Amino acid sequence: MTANLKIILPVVGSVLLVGALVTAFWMIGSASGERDRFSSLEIAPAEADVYFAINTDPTSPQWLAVNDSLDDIGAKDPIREAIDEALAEVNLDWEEDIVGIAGDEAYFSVPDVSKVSDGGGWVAGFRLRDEGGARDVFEKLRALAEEEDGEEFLEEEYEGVTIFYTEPTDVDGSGFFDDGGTSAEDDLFFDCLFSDDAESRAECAPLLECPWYTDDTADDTDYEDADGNFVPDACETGPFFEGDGFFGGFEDDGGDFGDSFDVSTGGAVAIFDNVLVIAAVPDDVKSVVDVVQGRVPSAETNERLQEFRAAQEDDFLMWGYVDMSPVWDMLEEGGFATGFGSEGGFGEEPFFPEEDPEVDAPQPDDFIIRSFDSEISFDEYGLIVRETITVDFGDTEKHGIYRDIPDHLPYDEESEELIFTFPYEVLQDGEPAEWEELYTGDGTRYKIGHPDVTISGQHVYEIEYSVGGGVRPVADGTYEVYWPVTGMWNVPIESVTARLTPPEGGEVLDADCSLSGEAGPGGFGCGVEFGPGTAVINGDLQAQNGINLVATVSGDLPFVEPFLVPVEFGSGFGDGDGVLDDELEFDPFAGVYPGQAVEQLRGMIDRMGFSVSSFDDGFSLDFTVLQAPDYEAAYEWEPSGAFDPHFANSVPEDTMFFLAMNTFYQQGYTQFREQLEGLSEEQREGYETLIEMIEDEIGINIETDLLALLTGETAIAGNLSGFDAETPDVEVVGLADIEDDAAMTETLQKLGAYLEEQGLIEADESGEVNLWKPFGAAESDAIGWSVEDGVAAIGYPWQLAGEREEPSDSLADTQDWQRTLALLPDDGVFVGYLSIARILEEVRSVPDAEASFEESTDGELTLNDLEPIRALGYSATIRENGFGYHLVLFMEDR
Amino acid sequence: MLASAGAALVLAGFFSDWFDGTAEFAAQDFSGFDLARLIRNLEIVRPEDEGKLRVAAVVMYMMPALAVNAGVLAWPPAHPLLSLATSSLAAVYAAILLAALLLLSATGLTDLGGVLGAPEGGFWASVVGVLSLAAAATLQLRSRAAPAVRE
Repeated sequence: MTANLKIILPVVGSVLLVGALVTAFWMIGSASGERDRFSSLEIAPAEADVYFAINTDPTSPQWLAVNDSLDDIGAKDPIREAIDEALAEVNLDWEEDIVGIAGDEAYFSVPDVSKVSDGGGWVAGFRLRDEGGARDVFEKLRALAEEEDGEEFLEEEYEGVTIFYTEPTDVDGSGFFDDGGTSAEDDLFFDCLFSDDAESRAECAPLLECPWYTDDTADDTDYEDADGNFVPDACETGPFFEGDGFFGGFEDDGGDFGDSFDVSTGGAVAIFDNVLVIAAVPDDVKSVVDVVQGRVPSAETNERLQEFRAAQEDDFLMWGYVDMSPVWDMLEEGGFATGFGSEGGFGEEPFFPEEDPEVDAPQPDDFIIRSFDSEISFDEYGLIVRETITVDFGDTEKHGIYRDIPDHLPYDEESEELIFTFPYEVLQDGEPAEWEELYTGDGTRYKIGHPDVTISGQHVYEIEYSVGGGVRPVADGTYEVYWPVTGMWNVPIESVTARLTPPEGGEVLDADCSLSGEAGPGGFGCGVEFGPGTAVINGDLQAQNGINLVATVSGDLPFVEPFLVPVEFGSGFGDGDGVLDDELEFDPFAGVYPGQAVEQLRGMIDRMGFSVSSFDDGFSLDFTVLQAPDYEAAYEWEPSGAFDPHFANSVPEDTMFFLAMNTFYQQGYTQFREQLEGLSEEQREGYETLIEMIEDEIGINIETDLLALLTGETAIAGNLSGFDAETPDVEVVGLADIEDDAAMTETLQKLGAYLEEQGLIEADESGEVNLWKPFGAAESDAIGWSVEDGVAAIGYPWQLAGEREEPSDSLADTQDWQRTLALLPDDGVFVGYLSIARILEEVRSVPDAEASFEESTDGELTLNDLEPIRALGYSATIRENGFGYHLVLFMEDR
Repeated sequence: MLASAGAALVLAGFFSDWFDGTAEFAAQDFSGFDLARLIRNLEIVRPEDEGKLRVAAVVMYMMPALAVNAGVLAWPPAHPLLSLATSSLAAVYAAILLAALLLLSATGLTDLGGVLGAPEGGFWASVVGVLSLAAAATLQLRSRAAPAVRE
């Protein structure tokens, strides 16, 4: 017995010891092993309007999975080589200097977005594994910057931490863009513009002195050489612009045009307590020092961020958060253009009334425009317009005026031309004015005047701008011009003149003027006088009227392709006579004023976030939008249950795209109707009228005869093939679960009859599949539809609507579908699927596609390499306090 | 004494760098402990393999645990037979595990082939520890066999 105990006890003890050790290792491994998620919050300031974190733990499964995925498609080596090359330029090595020192997480934070325009206000922090290594890397970079760029690093001690920083260099200026130049030229320009090095900046100094717009037509800075040849000025032949048609320029804080950017090029760095902090200014680094040393709270105490973080349960590769509240604040304070009215003067603060736009809307007796003089000429892009507006505010205190320029002009019955305006100069009483460029939804608004200063009496505003577009070639060397000279003002204009100067070498062949506006023609008026080669319009206007110019000119102008878009809501719906002939006047924004729109958005989108995660078989990108806690929607959100699209069983396995929605009627239409209740009366009436017009025309009740029947799944699926043909083959089928076969059949018959009456189709309901054949087309081009056993199908080619038996190998049977769906949340309101594998298959059938692709990647990648990329999935989910969007990329593990 | 020294080497080696990390975007040297941690963390990206991965991690943790056990039982008053058994078990177990890892790091049989590179100092320290445990076991075996020959 004793002998047995001598054996048994040590054996038991041995088992216990081994068990205890394994348990201890397990626990230690758990505590220190898995990356401490969101650890960067501990080293970030508590305030965070914007916060992005990235997993930098090289041994984390996330990065291993990324590595694996990149390896699968052969992209690992090219990317690694590109990184190595970039790092080699600054004498760094990826494994030694980056991976070797990186800790588990890094972040970029903007504690207060309103401070960013002052050149600071952002910080980036990195957890470090090897602080000494990080110092060595910094010293290398510092030496390089000092040697090559002449950068001077200053040092400041703060709470035992050394902060290295460079003096900020402000570059303020007005905006410009672009281009036509090569990217290399642009890079040179930007390098020069934003360089910290004075010597480098000197290279582009001549450009800093240029007016911000440059053209190649004669102006007062150009000259003729001894031989009489036109020589453009230096700005037009700048070192980076020559020959590339650069469209614009910029000015270094001249003040004429307001600053549209203000760049501070300084920087500050500190390495301490296994943390690397980078910011624009030392003060922002100090704020992180305070956090790390425990004097002020960290981002872990930020409740708005924490609440959002709580929803982010999984490990991540990248994670981001944006607090929209300050964005809405900025919009309400007037930083954004949301006006929907006509122009006029703007009065007492605030610029944008929150409650009622009428408070600030100029009244007819507010002030008067004594004269509105417009000089209109041509350049290679369209028109140059200079307006001189003499305004008499009388005794009324005003900040200034609004001038609205439309962003579209009538083109023909079906199209409108989008135009683009660029301001050159804005003056008030001959001096550069305070002004702001806003977007109104219909065009550009110049808000001219000092926000802190009110004025009265008579003042003269001069605005010069270019218009891209508005000139239409009608014959060789002949052009038609349409221009709304004055726009519509809420106040009368005593005198309007508009002088049209033809293009160089041309003349004005014809000109006319017209009145438009709420008051309509009559009362006041306009007329045209022809001078030597020019035309002058004279007129006067009531409030809410405008004068338009229509002219034909000759000359030599380059052809500029007009940017055409369909006429909004087309000419069309109307009177129930079955003929689409009446204009529908429907403004979806009617009655909405800026403060109200921002207020609605503030409640609906309180915070937004995203996360990127990698898996063994792909990547996922999730967006989450949180509503304000006290937000009450105009209708009840309806969180959806599990949704497994069964129509995936009804389409073939080689389906290229598939989109299915869960309970369209409940999730879509009824919520839309309830949401109408939350709109303005004008908006609601607009929508109701639109729906009634459609119903009158077609003879069905959209809700009861169509949408209310769609109580189950609704899906659309299709295929494209024959990519090498002039027109690829298209196959599309729509499928819907319906409640009442007979009712749906009747609805589709009525719709077919209506379309036939319109002369659009010939309906044939004699076969098992009903046909809608486009008028004059062959039967093979017909669309087919059928309603049977609670499912409605509509397809092209028509045969697809008749294929009701589930295929033996359906999309739902494929591994791509199943695994893509497995990566998506199972309670999506809808699910989208795009087969990348099928697209690649079709691409590969195109002759030379393989070679072209390889050539485009310099031989680094082939189409074979992309084979592991199988499918893209997309879904949306509705939550109690918001909604989410989910995008996944399924990659086969090889 | 030799068994305890071997156990100490196995344990020290387990917490030192075993393999060079070769994955370009996840490159870091891995100790045995890191490797067990990595295997456990793979649960996050391979939830379907959760069970297998946990077993694999326990298998890893067992190696130093068995070695420590052998090192402790090498000292009196432990029964010589038990000491021999634990030393042998720890040596064989560790030898198999290290050989398997070496094989997996050099081949594409599992994803470890794309993650692990050449063995490093910690790995060889563990190998020396295994050899020490094996030598201790062999010596004990010989000492137990010797009296029988004399009789």
